[in-house]
Amino acid sequence: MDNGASSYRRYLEGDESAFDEIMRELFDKLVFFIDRYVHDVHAAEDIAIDAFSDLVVNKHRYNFKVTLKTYLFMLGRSRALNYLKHRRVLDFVELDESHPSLIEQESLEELVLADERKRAVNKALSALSDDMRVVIHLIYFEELSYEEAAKVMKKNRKQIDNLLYRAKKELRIILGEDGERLL
Amino acid sequence: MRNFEERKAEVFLRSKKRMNERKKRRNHILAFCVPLCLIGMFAAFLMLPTNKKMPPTGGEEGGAEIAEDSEMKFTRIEVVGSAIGDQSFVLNEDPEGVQLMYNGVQACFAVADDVCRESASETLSDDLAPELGGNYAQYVTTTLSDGYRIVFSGKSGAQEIYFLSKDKLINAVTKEEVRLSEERRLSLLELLGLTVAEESK
Repeated sequence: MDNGASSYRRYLEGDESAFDEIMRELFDKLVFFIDRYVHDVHAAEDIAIDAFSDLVVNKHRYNFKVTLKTYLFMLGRSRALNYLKHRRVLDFVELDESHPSLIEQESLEELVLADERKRAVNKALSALSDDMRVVIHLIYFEELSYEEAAKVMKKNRKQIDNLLYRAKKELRIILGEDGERLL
Repeated sequence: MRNFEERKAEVFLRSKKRMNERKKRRNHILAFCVPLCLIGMFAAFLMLPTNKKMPPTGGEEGGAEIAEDSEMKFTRIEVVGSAIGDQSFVLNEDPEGVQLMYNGVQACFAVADDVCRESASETLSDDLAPELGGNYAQYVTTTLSDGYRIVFSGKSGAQEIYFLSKDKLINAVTKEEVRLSEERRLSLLELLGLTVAEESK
């Protein structure tokens, strides 16, 4: 499984339907990942659209040295951090359970995290710091390798190891003894 | 959230917009840079060093100055006397003075006797004449026997050699010779500021 690289190669050769395959496979996952940073599903969707349009505009920037998924996640992360830098301070309003944004977020979660165990871990992630949350997401939910996660987060392998170790330690505390099995 | 088709449409719409913006930006840069390059090339061309061989823009006077400069190729005249062991005496090192002497020597080849005498008189300045009492023979202390070599030398190493005897002036290179009358010879000697030993007695 090359996570979209062969589809992208076909798209570069002129097969437009290959781009549909890439979008179907990776779009929701990218939105879910970007949401870890921006905490706004609509903004995350917008950013994901921009990341995909990068694939169309800068066709030859992707050099196939990493998987397309890793490359897309790198684009998404960079755009998300850019968005956070330029975002104005908004008035925060308490959301009740019936608010549309929350509903959409939950449906996105259900879409991406088919596994119940992962959903349980996902709920506990909100208590972690941003970096720990992201590294758990990449390794545990998106099943990227340590090297690929390091490329996405622009860290080295050792830093990813340390981050993951600390994140798991925190999660064990949050999830308790039952939670231990989920990891 | 959008459905799949809406997302896909939005991706391609934004891509098209970005590509159009990129094209526009490139065109703006070209529109600015091309005239800038042309102006730069034109300015560089204007600042190039002018060719020294090109004719001056000052008109006839400038042309005359250039002609004079090219003619003043000799800056030194010396005379070598065979009768005195080939010792050489420098008669003049002022380029203008040397040029006048050279013109006088050339005139002897080119013109008739009268003209040669006149040119010799004209080249000697009037202010010298009162001081010396008109006796040009005393102008230089160098005394020579008949038959000697006159050497004109230039900065570039150019040389012209003439042999002057009692009645002949010979160009050493072209072997051209001209027979000189006594008057003419004396005029030439006056021009060069020379006396012959027998005359000083």
